[in-house]
Amino acid sequence: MAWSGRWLVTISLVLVVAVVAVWRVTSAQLEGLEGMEPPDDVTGTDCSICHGKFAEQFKYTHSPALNAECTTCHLEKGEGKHGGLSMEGRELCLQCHTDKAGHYVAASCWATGCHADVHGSDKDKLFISSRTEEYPGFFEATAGAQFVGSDQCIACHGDKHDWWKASMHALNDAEDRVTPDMRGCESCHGPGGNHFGRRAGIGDFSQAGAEEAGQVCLKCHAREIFASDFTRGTHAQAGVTCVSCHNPHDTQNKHELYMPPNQLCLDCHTTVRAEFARLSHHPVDLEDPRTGMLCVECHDPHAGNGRSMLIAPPEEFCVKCHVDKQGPFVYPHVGYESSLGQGCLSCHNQHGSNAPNLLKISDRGLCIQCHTDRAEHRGGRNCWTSGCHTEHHGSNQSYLFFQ
Amino acid sequence: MTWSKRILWPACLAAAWTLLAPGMVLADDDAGGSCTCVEQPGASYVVFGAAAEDVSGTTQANGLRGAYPNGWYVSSRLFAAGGPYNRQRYELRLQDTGSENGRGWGRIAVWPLSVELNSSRRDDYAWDLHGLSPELPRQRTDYRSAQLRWHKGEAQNMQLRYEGRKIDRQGGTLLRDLEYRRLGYQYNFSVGGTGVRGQYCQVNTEVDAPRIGVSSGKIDTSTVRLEAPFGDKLTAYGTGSVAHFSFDNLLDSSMDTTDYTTGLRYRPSCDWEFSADYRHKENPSSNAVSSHSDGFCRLAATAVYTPGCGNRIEAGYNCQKTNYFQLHMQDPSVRSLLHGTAQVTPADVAAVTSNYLPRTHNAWAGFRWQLSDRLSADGRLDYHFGSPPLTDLVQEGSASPFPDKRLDASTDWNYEVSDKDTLGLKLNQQNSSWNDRDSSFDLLSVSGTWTRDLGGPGLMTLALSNSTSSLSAPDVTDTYASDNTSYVVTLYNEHPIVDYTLDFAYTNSTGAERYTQTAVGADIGPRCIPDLGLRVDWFDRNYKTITGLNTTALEVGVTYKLRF
Repeated sequence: MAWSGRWLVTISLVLVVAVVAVWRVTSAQLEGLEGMEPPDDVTGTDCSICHGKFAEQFKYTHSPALNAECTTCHLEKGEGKHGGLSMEGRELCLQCHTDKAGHYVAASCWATGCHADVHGSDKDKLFISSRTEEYPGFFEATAGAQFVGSDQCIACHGDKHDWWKASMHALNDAEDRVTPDMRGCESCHGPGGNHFGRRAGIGDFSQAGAEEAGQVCLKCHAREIFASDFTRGTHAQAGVTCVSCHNPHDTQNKHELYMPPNQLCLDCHTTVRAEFARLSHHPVDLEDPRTGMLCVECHDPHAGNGRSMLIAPPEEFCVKCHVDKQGPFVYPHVGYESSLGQGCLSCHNQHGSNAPNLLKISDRGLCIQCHTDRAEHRGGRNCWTSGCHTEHHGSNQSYLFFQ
Repeated sequence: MTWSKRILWPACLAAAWTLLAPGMVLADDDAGGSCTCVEQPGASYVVFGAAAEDVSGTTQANGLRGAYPNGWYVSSRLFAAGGPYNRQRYELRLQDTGSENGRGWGRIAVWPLSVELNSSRRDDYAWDLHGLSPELPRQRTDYRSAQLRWHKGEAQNMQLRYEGRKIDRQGGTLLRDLEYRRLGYQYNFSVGGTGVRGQYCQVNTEVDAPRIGVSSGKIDTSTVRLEAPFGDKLTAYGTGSVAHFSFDNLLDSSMDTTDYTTGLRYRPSCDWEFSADYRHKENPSSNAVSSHSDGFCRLAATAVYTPGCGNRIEAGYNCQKTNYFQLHMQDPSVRSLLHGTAQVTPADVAAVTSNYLPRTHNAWAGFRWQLSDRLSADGRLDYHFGSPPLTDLVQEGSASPFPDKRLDASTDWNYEVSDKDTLGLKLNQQNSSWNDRDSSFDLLSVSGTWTRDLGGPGLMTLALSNSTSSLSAPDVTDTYASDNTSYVVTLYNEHPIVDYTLDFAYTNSTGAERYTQTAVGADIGPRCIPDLGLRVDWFDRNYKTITGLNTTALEVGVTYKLRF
């Protein structure tokens, strides 16, 4: 109907005019009040006359505001500019929150954007978002965020940066890394624009799965970790991520590992640690791995072959050190050939054994496991200590592996 | 070159770099800008250490704490990291003893180069099982390596490595010297814009093995690996390797081997992956006289299902065809040839050699599953079957030493009893059977661990392991059985006064090498002097039947870390 249309237009115009008028008047009043001192009859506890009661505004209220103790932070009436702070920066907060002295910020607790509304908040700890906010996911957390630069990160996380800058990952601050997504903290953690005051607004590796963490690290290290796809490996499938072993902020250990290499592996693989305590074992030294072997000489922790993540079939890397066992021989012991038997592991336990020389079984039982028809053929203590089949790895002289 | 000179050259080089490297700042530096550092991390330090040992009896190779030099030795370590934005790191470690044991180790990392030098000598005892009673002859192992790594922009990197090891064994009847030197080069690369990644390796090894029956010579190996993606789901990969052998004391001194694998990997979704590959290998066999494999080809297929949460099920199958040459050893002409004094060549026995292509199959399945919040398990079952190659080494028509069927089973269970306690159980089993001989051989190894979180970094682990083996064969009364058990305890904990680590290992063997072994070690770090460390080790090995091999050793060491 035509009349209703006219009424609608009229009412809308009146409302717009009213809103504009109220806004202009309020602004003028506020401008006039700025710098004004309160009336003489208003005491320090009567701030609520003008500023209202904070307790009625927020779910969580800062205790001085709740108790109308405004001068805890603000200047007393007549001491300076109305509303001015009694101290600058984080020192203001530390006069009460002394236990947070080690909670590093360069500027102030609110200027970082974390405890942005210091009078009160609907979020716990006066955060602008809840600490218990559900983490949206590593990449989702930074979706749509702007790059802010490492200097912004350092303001709060200076301690991390101090470690990081001495690590190999400080390369990320090199001048040739011109694009922000490849530079500094944000090259790994993603753009920090969503992070101010929001714990969940940044790429958090402690919340990341193997695939997510892998994507970040492999952005640069994909070529280095040749074994194709880390996420296919046993480690990744078991929830072991890059940052489970590597601390990109650290500088103490090679490859930014959390601890020396062998210790790191055996910290989880406790059963294997026990195997290295047996009578004979490969010389893996937990105290100083450079004196002996490293776990990674046989295993590829990033993506090795099969369940044991080996760098190659055992018969290929065992002979790198045990070169005299490699052959080819005129009289080979075919049972050692991986194409027919189990290779070296036919007879040896790779980590450690209660029998000498890493043997699976200490005596003639070792040979009997294949030569069952020779169970009662023994000339001495066993097949080789008898002095007979001493060259059992293969020989160029004797088809029976005699010396 | 004496031992002291061996450790001096890496030491001097590392020290020179440390002192002369331009722009090296060891002390604290401010990050600059608006950053106000809380505390500069003390990354640079020097550790001084000394230890005294007392050994009675003899010692063996691969002792729990390394070689026991039976005297004083000193060690030191320098670690220095550069200041802000310096990608430089210098490390040096020295240990010297009064009995020619020791090591020197140094590493210099100046981006994009990293150089690592390593030299060690170890003088201890080796097992010599080649005699009517075992003995422990002395052996000396020298090892040195140098490695240079160049790392440019993560896109390309390469490594040049030299290593050499020399083992001198003295006194053993059949243990003789061995030495090898190896030069390796590795280059990782990518083909820009195509997603193709590759690796090239070249390794040249020189072997000097004066033992009778083992060859000395050179082995040169070249390997190329390539991986090429075709879209998001399909990847092709391949590895090719060529090795050239030139051995000194064989009739045909120059031999080659080729080995290549090519395959496809298909991932239709995040949950599924299918792969298939083909491998072909040819072994050098121009000198081989007895039964031997000349090469094989293998076709394999695998399917993996990963539904998430760490769960995984996989299964695979491979079929292998081996190019096998069987020498009919029971032929009278062969026996007389082999028992003669003249050197036998492959041509001499060609007439009594049969060539055939036995097929063997391997089907396997494995899983890893989070059965509940606290219980996880993984396992794998391997079943080998087929027509293994025959030998008549022992008697005409004798069955092959290769079993007709073999089942390998292994499983690993982990149960979190509570937030602090975890139990682990690991089983390995092998069952082999020979139908024509009606015999079988079983091997079982069981180990269990209990891990307790003591809060903070504190951790305690108890481990128990046992292995047994047994033979079942008709008409064999003297069957074989063995039983070995070991108990291991490790404990790390923090205390208001000291941080400490304790290790305990006890082994009881009831096999032929009947013995007990006990090793106890402790690391102690007083809280009041956090840079001070103490280490005590006690080791005892006691044989029940063999005399002369018992050992008792005590070592006490102290270290101090000086930060700067």
